[in-house]
Amino acid sequence: MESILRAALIYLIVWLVMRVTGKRTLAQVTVFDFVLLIIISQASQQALLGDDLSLTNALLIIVTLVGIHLLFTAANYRWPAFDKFANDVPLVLIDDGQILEERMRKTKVSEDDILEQARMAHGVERMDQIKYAVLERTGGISVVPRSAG
Amino acid sequence: MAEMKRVGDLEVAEDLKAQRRNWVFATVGSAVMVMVALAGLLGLFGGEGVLSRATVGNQNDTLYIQEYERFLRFGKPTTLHVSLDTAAAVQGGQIRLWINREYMMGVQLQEVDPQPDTVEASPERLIYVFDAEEGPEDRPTEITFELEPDEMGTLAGRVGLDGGASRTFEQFVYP
Repeated sequence: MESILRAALIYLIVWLVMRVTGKRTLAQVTVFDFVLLIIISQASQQALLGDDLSLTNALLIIVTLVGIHLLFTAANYRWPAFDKFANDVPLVLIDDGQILEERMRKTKVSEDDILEQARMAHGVERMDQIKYAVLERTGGISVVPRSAG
Repeated sequence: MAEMKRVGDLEVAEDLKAQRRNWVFATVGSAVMVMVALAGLLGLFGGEGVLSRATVGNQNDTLYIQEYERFLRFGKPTTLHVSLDTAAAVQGGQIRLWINREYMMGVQLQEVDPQPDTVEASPERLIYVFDAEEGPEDRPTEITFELEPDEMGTLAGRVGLDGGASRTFEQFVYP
């Protein structure tokens, strides 16, 4: 019983912390985020396993984690409102060439971030070639260039 | 995907209300995390720290708990440090210090320093008996118990001298 509760609790805690930290942490893995992820996984591993290194314990934990994951996935599909909270919502950052400054500030996305994504995905050269930019739920930025629209 | 919204030519499930709610959640969440970290620094979650480290009584008492931690963590070793007025504590060449049984059920005793010569058990108490020299000693006798919390929740402890003063203390054990 303890393993199950442990796994569920750790899952929820890590999920909450990552959810609070924001989606950008996961999508764009910078050196900071990389360090953070490694350390978090190390710290939670101890709490997850406790002093029980048995195969049974590992099995129980894995099954629990995957189970919770499936539940979350089902809940996301079933209740859109839950999905919007759990997975966040996309946010338009550039609307028809117009940069929405306040949203960029709130989401801490810079114009450079958008240009970078535009270059990588579409070979876009300048800001005025971008029609739409959306901060997606995964934390990535999708760019729609003008010529394509 | 019933409520697909359009922003210009884009079909995107933007939801500013939900977005704002999520931002509030993130802000509150960050604040909570900072507070948790600060509370941890102060010792609210066990270990060292001003909120955790405590004493009972004062130095000149016959029995003085010089150091214990208010907040413990399950399985994490802790120290109970008792200081006795030697002249008053030694009787008949012995110091007889007891701890209530209920408390000892909640912890695992790792070590007592100095080692007691015998331990006597009664339904209510465990009495640790130390051979000691009688005399007008003005230095206190210090006895430490190295313990490992074995139960979560509140632990009510009571230590005392057989037939003499006693002190109570309370500890909380985090999972």
